[in-house]
Order: sequence, then C-alpha cells, then structure tokens
Amino acid sequence: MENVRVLVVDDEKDFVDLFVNRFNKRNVQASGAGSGPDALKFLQEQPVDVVVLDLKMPGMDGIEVLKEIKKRHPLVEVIMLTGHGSVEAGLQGMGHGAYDFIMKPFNIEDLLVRIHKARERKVLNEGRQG
Amino acid sequence: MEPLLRSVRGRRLLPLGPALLVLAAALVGRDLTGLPALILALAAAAGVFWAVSWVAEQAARSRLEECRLEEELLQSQKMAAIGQLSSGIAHEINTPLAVIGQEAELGLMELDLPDLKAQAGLDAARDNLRQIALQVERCREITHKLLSLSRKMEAIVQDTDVNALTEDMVLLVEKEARLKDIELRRNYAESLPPVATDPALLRQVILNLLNNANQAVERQGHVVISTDMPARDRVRISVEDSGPGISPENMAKLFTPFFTTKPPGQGTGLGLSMCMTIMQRLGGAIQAASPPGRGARFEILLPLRPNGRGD
Amino acid sequence: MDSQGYGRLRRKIMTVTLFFSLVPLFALGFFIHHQFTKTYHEKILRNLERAVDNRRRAVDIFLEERVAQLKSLAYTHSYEQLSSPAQLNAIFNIVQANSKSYVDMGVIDAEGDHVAYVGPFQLGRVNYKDEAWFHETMLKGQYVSDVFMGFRKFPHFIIAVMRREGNRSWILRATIDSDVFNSLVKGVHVGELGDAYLVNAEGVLQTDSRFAGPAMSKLTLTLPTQPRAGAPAGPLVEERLIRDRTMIVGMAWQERVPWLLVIMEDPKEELMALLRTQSIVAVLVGGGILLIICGTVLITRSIINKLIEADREKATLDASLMQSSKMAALGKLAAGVAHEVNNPLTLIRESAGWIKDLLIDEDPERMIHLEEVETAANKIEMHVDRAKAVTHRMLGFGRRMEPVQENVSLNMLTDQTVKFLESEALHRNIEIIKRLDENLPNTTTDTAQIQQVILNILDNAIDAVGAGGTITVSTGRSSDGRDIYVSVADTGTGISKDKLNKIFDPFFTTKKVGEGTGLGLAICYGILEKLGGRIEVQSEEGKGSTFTVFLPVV
Repeated sequence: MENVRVLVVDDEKDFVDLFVNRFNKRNVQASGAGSGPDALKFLQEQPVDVVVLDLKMPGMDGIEVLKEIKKRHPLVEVIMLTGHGSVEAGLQGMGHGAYDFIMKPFNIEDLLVRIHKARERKVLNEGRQG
Repeated sequence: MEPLLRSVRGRRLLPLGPALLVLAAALVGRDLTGLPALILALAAAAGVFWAVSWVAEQAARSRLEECRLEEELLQSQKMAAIGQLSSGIAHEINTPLAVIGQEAELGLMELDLPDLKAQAGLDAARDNLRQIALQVERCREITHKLLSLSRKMEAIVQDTDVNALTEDMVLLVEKEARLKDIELRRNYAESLPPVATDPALLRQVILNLLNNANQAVERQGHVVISTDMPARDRVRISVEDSGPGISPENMAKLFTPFFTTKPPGQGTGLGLSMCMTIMQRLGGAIQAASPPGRGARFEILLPLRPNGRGD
Repeated sequence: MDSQGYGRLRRKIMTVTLFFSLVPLFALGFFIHHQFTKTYHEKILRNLERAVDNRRRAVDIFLEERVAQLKSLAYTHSYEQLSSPAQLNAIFNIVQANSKSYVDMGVIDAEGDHVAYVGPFQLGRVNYKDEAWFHETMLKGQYVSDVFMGFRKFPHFIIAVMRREGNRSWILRATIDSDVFNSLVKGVHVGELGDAYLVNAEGVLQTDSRFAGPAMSKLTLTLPTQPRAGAPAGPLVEERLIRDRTMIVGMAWQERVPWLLVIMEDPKEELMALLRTQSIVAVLVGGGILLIICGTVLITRSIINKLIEADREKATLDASLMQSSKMAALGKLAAGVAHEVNNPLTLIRESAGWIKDLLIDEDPERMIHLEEVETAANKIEMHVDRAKAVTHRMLGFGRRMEPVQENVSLNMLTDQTVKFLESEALHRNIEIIKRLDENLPNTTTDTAQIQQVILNILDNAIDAVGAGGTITVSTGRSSDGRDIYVSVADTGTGISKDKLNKIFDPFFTTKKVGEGTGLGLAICYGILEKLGGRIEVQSEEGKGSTFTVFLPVV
C-alpha cells in the first residue's frame, strides 16, 4: 500500500516542520500548512488522506476549517489536535465530522497509529461509495 | 390470572389456594391419623405452595420480558419512523427555503439599483429583506443538522481498541471535570479483544454519555467509567454518575428525540436519541438505569462483530 | 481596638447602664416613699380626728341620756313618790338594773335639804343651799357638774334636774359612776403610749389620764379656745411635744358640758407598721440595686469579651480573605505561565525526538560523536519531562477556591510542598532533612489549604534560619493515635517567651516593616481550626523553633 498522505495544519511553523520531517521518516507522505486557508488551498491541489488539524488557530479556527474540509472533501478524515481537552470542542468537532482527537503533547507513535486508522476508514468509505 | 401475575402480592397469594386445597384434601382424606399424618399434609401443602409460586414467578418474568422486548421493538420502530419523517420533511422544506432565500437576495439587489439606492426611505424594506435572508439561513442550518444526522449514521467498521478509545474521551473531559471537583474513575477490563465497530460513531456516544454524567453531577462527585465483557461475544462500556438520578417518569422518555431535562435553551435533547440510533446502527444497544439514591448508570453493549457472529 | 479602648468602652457601658437603671429606680423609690409616708401620716391624723369626733359624740350622748333618764324619772314621778325612801330605792334599783351608770340618787327640796337618798354614802341631813350646783340647777333646770371630790371624798360628778311641780320645785340628783364614764372615754384604742381623757376649761382632769395623773389633777396643757355655744367646732388635731415625745393630739369640746375630750397617740406606734414596710422595701431595693450592679458588670464584661473576640475573628477573616485572593491570583498566574511554557516544551521534546530519528540513519563508524549526541538528545527529552512535571504541579497548585475534603497522604503532600521550596533552601545553603513516618495513615482534609499551611511554616523556617542551617521536616502519629502531625523544626534564632503566645495573633510579625504582613500564622491557625486540627509551637531562643501541625485522622 502506498504511503498515507497527511497534511498537518498548525500556526506554529516549527511544529509543522518537525512533524513533517519526523513523519516523512516513518513512511508517511507528510506536508504542512500554516493556516486554514492555506490548508484548503493545498487540499484543492493535492490529494490527501488524513488532515491533522490544530484546534486553536488565529484567523480561521480549527472548527471552521473542519467544516470547510468536510464540505469540500467529505472523504478526507480529520484528526483534531488540541492543547487542552475541552468537552465543547470534542462535541463540536465530532458533530462536524472529525474522526479523532489527540491532545498535545502526544506520543508520535500513538499519532501514527491513529493516522493509519483514519486512513483505513477513508479506504472503507471510498469502497462503499464507489 | 393475568392481573394476579402482574402484582407481586398477587403472585404471593396465588399459591395459597392450591396449598390450602391440598391441606384440606389431606385432612379430609384422613387415611392416616395422628401427628405424622399432619406433618405429611403440611409438607405436601408447603411443596405445592413453593411449586405454584415458582411457576407464577417464571410466568410473570417471561411475560415482563415479552413486554419489554415489545416495547423496545416499538421504540426502535418509532425512532426509525421519526428519523425517516424528519429527513423527509427536511428535504421537502429545503426547496421552498432555497426559493425564499433567493427571492430575498434578488429583492436586496433590486433595492441596490442606481435609481433606488439613494432612497433612504427604503431602508426599512432593506432591513426586512435582510432579516428574511438571516432566518432562511437559520432554517437551513436546522434542516442541515437533521439531514446530516440521518446521513452520518452509516457505520464504517474498523477494528477498535475500546479501552483506548474510551480513555481518549475521558481525557478529553477530565480537565473540566477536575475543575468542578468531579472525580473520574476508570475501571477498564484487563484485556479486551478488538471490537469491529465504527470508532467515530462510538466516540460520539461515549462523549455524549460522559458529558451528560458530568452535567448531572454538576460539582463534587464522581463518575465511574468501566469496560468489561458480560458475555463472550460482546463488550460493555458503562458510565455511572453520582448525580441526582433519573425519575421513573423521565426514564420512559429518556431516549425520545428532543427530550431533555435541561432548562430551555441548554441542550437540544438530541443527544440520547442519537446515541440510541447510533447503537442500533452498530448492532448494539444502550440502556439506562437509575436506582433511587444512587445516581444514574448508562450502559452500551457492543457485539464483537456487528452481525452478531462470534469469532 | 487596643486594651485601653476596650477598658474605656467597658466603663462607659457600665456607667450609662447603671445610670439609666439606678437613677429612675431611686427617683421612683423616693417618690413612692414620700407619697406613702405623707398619705400614711394624713391617714393617722384623719383617723384620730374621727376617733375624737366619735368619742365626743358618745360622751355627749351618754350625758344626754343620763339627763334624759333623770328628767323622765322626775317628771313621771311625784315629789311624794320620789321622796319616799322605799320608792326611791325601788326606782333606783330598776334604773340600776338596766344601766349601771348611777352610784346614788337623791332628792333635794327647794331649800337645799337632802330629803331622800339612795346610795352607798352616808349623806343624811346634808344641805346644798350654798352649793354652786344647787343654784345652777334651780336656775337652769338641769346641771352636769365637773368632777369633784365633794362630801364623798372621791372623784365623781353629778347630774341634777329640777322639776317644778305645781308651786313646788325640787331637784333629782344622781351621781355618775366615774368608772363607767372612765371606761367610756378610755375605750379608744390608743396603743401603748396613747392617752385619752376629759379635761374641763380650767385644765382639770375629769377622767383618769394614763400618764398625766388621776382625775382632778391639773394639766399643763394649752387648751384650744372654747367654741361659742351654738357654733360647734370640729375636732382639732395637731402635733404637740408632750413629755419629750411628739404626740398627735386630738381635742374636741363636748357639746353637753364644757369639757374637752383629748385623745393623743404616739405617731411612732402607728407608724411602726409603715416603718416595717419601709425597711422591707429598703432591703429589697438594696438587694435589687446589688443585683443590677452585678448584672451590669457581668453583662458588660461579657459584651466586651465578645467584642474582642469578634474583632479578632474579623481581623483573621480579613487576612485570610486577602490571602485567599492573593493565592487565587497567584494560581491563575501560575496556570497561565504553565500553559505558555508547555508549547515550547513540546517543541523542544519533539525536536530532540527528531534528532534521535535522524541519528538512526547515521553510521557510528562515520560519526564519532554519535553516541554522545544520542545521549544528549535523550537528556534533553528527560529534562523536558522534568520541566513538564514542574508546570504540571504549578497548574495543580492554588486552583480550587472552595474547601474540599479528600483523602490525602500527608507524606505525599509534605513531600510535594517541600519540593517547591527545595531550590530556595539549597540556594541559601540550608539543608532540609525529611523524616516521614512510613506507616502514616491517610486522612480526609482539604489538600490545598494544608499545602498552604505547610508552605507558610516552611517559608518561615527558611527565613528564621537565614543561611546555613538545618530544617527537619517530620511526620508521624500523635501519642493517642487520634491525630497525625507534620512538624517543621529549624535551627534558627528561636522565639522569645513573651512573643511566643502572641505568635498566632493577626498582624503580629517579627519581620521588619514591609517584609511580612504578620498574617501567615494567623491564617494557618484559622485554617487548622476549621479543619478540626491545631497548630503548636515550641521554641528556645538561640536554639530554634518547632512548629507542629496536627490533623485528626478521619
């Protein structure tokens, strides 16, 4: 199976770079975006399996981005990233179609597992729809 | 016989009849005389008493079970019907809504034409049209929600680690719970086999239950989250809270759509009915119990394989 | 308020209370006493007046009756009848049988000759022609004499009536039994020291006086003027000094005879009852005053004490509240900082992880320092974890505001709290020795508040030691097993005995102005009290102090 294609969306550049680098080393085709609009633009141009999306971002915040992604690319699975848990965010996120939630700081291996699971779901979904 | 069976007292009195008959028969018969005869007669009567009461209990129990299953079936049928109805309505309404919205937009555009733009007297009319557009948008959101509810219920099955998934959700709510002095206790089964289910949908259910539990306790109390395997082919997740519990009147209506015990404005009452629908989609079940003075306990049952087939 | 202020307040309250309760009491008492005495006096005088009046009337009636009796005798019998001794005797007996007032009876003709006599005296052939009374009787028709000795040589008086029978005039004369008369007069109840008598216009006693002498003696009494006949005056009541005693004297002139009825009593006798009542009342009032004073003193003391206590509580509460809000602000600050720090920490950790990832591809042959770089990356991760632990702890500290009871291990709590100040202590070269009892049971209490207390005590210990010393923190169970304790012993300067019992007072501090608020220990005290524990201190100047916090095992 080809590598899973992941897009990391976070306003902190160092975090995105680290993420992209570390995941590329683990058989993940990772790319990064620094904001909601950037992410949407990227999704427009490139196929992505899983989006790892930070909840709190200036400008267009996580939930907004999630809604847009689900509207335009409903098959892309989204994993929400948050600094501190909040029930509200969880309910909202899942209500709008987020697949999973992970809290910072996370274990990179743990995140990898979730990404794979998300991709699995996407594949199943596609099979069903196709 | 039915009414007798239904009440506990009835069930207790029922065996008296046959028992007394036997006793009477024994005494009247009087073949044997003296104390041994009396004891024997009593023993026979007692035996009859226990036998009849046992039978009565069993009959009552199976009848109760029947009734319960009937009710559950009725409930799920109702749910399905409601679901269909609401999505049907939503679809239908969307069309006229779209028209209204468009007309409002057109109206606004007309009022912006060069010869009308300057006239301030038409400001009221502009406001009205804007209001119309706003409210149409609101209606859209409501129908969108209803439709998406029915759409998103399709389960996509993946092997899921139920303990990890549950813990994820617990961690999500833990911070806020701690702020309100609510203790979250975990009681996970040692090793649960992976369950074939839709993790996203399951997460929603668990998060909903945790949220309800926290809101019930309000502050200073505890919520116990446990996982176990009540049978070889199923997994159970339960959320038990130390809140005020649910009154018997509310218990019956608990999973009906739009039912809520929260004050108006808070909560839509969709939560539990949605949970029930999801659980049905997943081939599982959700139950609630509220023993008096001991808060409330919600249980989710999941088959290891959605079709009920064991491994 | 200082102790002087309290003393002043106490005195003020007492004075005002006593003033407002005693003064009206006295005024009322005085007024009642005055009124009562006056009324009583009045009553006595009125009583005497009435008694005199009654008695006077009685005497008048008596004399009138006797005169009437004699007159009816004289006019219902002829001269012949009455001058016959036998008949006179019979009549006399009948009369005597009904009223034993007469001593004797006699008939005297117009020449003054005693023609008939019945009685105990030998008055045979006596002639009264020259007697004043004879003339008076012949003139006026009736006559009542004063008391005189006369032929009979004992005090008596006579009543004589004259009858004109045809052309003959004769007199029927009777002697009045002075005893009867005396008892009539004396019948007035005049107590032990009182007196009652009749005296004539010249001051000669007509009846026996108790103290002034028997009948016929002369009195040195100033008599009121005799009223004119036909215009009778009421009795006169006045106070007179009689034989060194102030007596109330009631006097009234008889109407039938020119005698003065005198009744006198010692007011003190009458007033005895009044005096008794008054002395009882005085005792009661005295007792009441005593009670009032005692009550006032006690109540005032109690009020002042309560005031002192309330003031102290308020001061502690204020201090505690201030401290609480400080802690809350501090907590929020800490939380904010912790959050901010978490993000960079995550990045640092991930970067270290990334380095480790990259090193996987490196060839140990070609990279000399491979192992060290890897170790360094591991160290980075480790210390980031340590830093995270600190922020995590900071997030947990000072968060909750409402008191909460939870099961807690005092050892763990102490350990945690000590960690907070460990670096500070190290910096000042102070050694912290921990002696935590392993078997210390858990207890249910408010973690945040106990932490605050331990922190405060530790902080004080560090300040006391200054630099280079030891602080020993120990935990254990009390000897009776009901409490657990944590104690902080320092080798600091110690606390002097006089300061020792003020150490938990609010605003008391041994630090210089601006360095401490003096609130810490007061708040600790308050906290412990609320949680059902206590805090104790032992200290020796120059050697050091030990603060021990006791908590009940729950």
